[in-house]
Amino acid sequence: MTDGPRFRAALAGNPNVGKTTLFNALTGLNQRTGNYPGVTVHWHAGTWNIPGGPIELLDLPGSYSLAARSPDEAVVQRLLSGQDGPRPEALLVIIDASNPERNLYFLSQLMDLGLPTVVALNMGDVAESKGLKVDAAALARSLGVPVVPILAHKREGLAALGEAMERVVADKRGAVGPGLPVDGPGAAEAATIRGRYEWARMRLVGAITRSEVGISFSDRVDKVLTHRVWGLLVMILVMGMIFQSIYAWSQPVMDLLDAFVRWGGAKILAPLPAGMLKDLLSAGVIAGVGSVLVFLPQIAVLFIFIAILEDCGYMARSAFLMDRIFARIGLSGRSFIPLLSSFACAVPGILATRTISDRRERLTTMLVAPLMSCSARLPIYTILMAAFLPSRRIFGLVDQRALLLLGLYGMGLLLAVPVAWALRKRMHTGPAPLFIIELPGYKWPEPRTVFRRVWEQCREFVTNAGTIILAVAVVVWALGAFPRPQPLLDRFAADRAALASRTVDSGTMAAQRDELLRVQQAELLRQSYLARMGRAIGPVFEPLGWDWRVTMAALASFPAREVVVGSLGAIFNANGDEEGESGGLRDALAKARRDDGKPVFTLAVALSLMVFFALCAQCASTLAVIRRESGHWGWAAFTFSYMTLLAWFGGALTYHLAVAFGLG
Amino acid sequence: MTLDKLKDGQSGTIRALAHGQSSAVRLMEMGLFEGSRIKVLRRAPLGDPMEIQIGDYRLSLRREEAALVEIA
Repeated sequence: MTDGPRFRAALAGNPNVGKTTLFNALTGLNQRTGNYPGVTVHWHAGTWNIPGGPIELLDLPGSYSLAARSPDEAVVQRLLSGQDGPRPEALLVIIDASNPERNLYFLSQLMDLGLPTVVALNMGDVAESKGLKVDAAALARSLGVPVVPILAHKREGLAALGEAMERVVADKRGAVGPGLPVDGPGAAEAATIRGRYEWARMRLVGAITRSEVGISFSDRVDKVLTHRVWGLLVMILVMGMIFQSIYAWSQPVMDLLDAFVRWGGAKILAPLPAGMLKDLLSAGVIAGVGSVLVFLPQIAVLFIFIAILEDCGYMARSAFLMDRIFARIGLSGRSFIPLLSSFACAVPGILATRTISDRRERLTTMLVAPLMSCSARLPIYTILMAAFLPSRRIFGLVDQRALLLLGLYGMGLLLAVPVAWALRKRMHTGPAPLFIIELPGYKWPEPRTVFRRVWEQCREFVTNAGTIILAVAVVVWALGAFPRPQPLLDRFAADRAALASRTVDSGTMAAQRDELLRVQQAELLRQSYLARMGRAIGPVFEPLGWDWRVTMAALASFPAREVVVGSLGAIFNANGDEEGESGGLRDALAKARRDDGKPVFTLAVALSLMVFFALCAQCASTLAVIRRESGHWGWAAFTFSYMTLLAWFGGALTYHLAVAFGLG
Repeated sequence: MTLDKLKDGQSGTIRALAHGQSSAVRLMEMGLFEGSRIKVLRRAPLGDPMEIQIGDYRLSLRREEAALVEIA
């Protein structure tokens, strides 16, 4: 006997029939997850303890048919036919008792594979509320495979399921379906489909009884939630709450995490001597860890909502309500929540595209999501506006700052339209995408399922995207910290010694010392590798009106765009302590001079910088998540390229227009 | 008449599905084929898509998908 599982069973079923709930109930915390090669589908496998000992249970993506229409759907068929890894030895098929016919359609295909099969008959309670009663024993007789009634959310019937699985595998009794083609052209033929439904209907004769019931709870709820007026109103409320929660309510938790990382970092660093290692740890590693963790509250909050909305059946309704708007650009209502979330932050927004079943639609949504103006862009807008755009009411009505802000938000949204449209056109190969969405009955969300989803999402983000984000933070830190030429360091030491030998009171001394350190830090930064890169590619950004130091700050902000504010401060030696950080930075920026004595920043430059940052993809986290979710570096590279191009053209156009209007 | 022409609350029996359309195949797999009873429950606020009842469940169909379904 080995310790490994004795055999492998696959769990299959339609979407929205409680498959995930059952899988979690059977395997507990004992799960592994991963990605199928080349597609955006994630797999879950876990250990299921049945009477004869543990076996491996593989959770297949929810599916209506084995006749695949997309690479994602093909996963189920490939796995079951043994084209991807070892073929499972048995099948556990979960069916919805409240919708037996269509569930039996998929079951007929699965039974035609001839594997030992157990059927889990779920949601008998929902069926009864609809006046439908399915007799499990009668159904088992007519299907020729064990049918176990279960209530996955109440964890009822699970032991019987294990016993049935043990028995069918021990008997080596393969299921016998209608014997129609499962794959190849014949599988999708009208005659085959009709044949399978005919089979399903025959199996159900004598196994189901129907009785008339009044309008169900689910129907009454649906009437309100999909109503032209009330439905929209409820949706605006729900979406407003989601948006507010990622945008604002996550902030205290993020601040807390940030403070915790700083505090922990300080504790770790305290015993270390000042120097290179300490700098690497504090500015590179700890800052990097902070920039990974800072996303967790937003991801957790968004996924609490998404998991609840999906589990209770509202997600499909929100897609139904919004579909028309997105249909025009080749997307569907399913893109709504990911794109809305992206206004707070593209990282959770891109993760939310997992709720989109069509691969091309999902990819398109993912690639335009970073165009939505996220909350990290706000500090850039506000600092530059505060410094260069006076607050003034236009026609005595709106502040011109507010108007500009609105314009910056609107620009990303408007540009997403042609980009999405072009992407959909390019990707339009193979069968037309389907926008048939099932509107499942409403049910109470299951806390365990919700918690699990949130936990998995956070863990995956930290282990996958997190490592990339950390690596980028360290590399960019190193580029800004090196080289450290010895003559310069010697001169710094001499200057510090000279300052120390002067006789002034200790308060003045400390202030002068801080000032000197800041100037020295800035000088070191200005001749770092990063600065050399800034100078080298400076001419490329000349059309945007940027001085090479601005270009350098933009480069330094690759890990996260909001970093540009701090970088500008460091490069132009802003004094942070006088009137609050932004006040110091504002003055420093206004005072900064080019090599020829002209000011670095004019309103035109500030505008071009704002437009650039509204459109660019200076966010390593977003790119890491795109890579992770699309399964390819290529898509991350593509996003970076197209957005940088857009940003460059947008910035150049803005600069030249602004100069033409005399704002230069 | 095609399904997209049915008014909210109206029901009918499917007579045929447009041939050769790959969308039609998926519609059939979802239970929409000749002889099935189908009811239009309501339309989304912007007039499209529509919510339909077919057998024991509900689907959201776009107008162009509904146009593939011939109603008797």
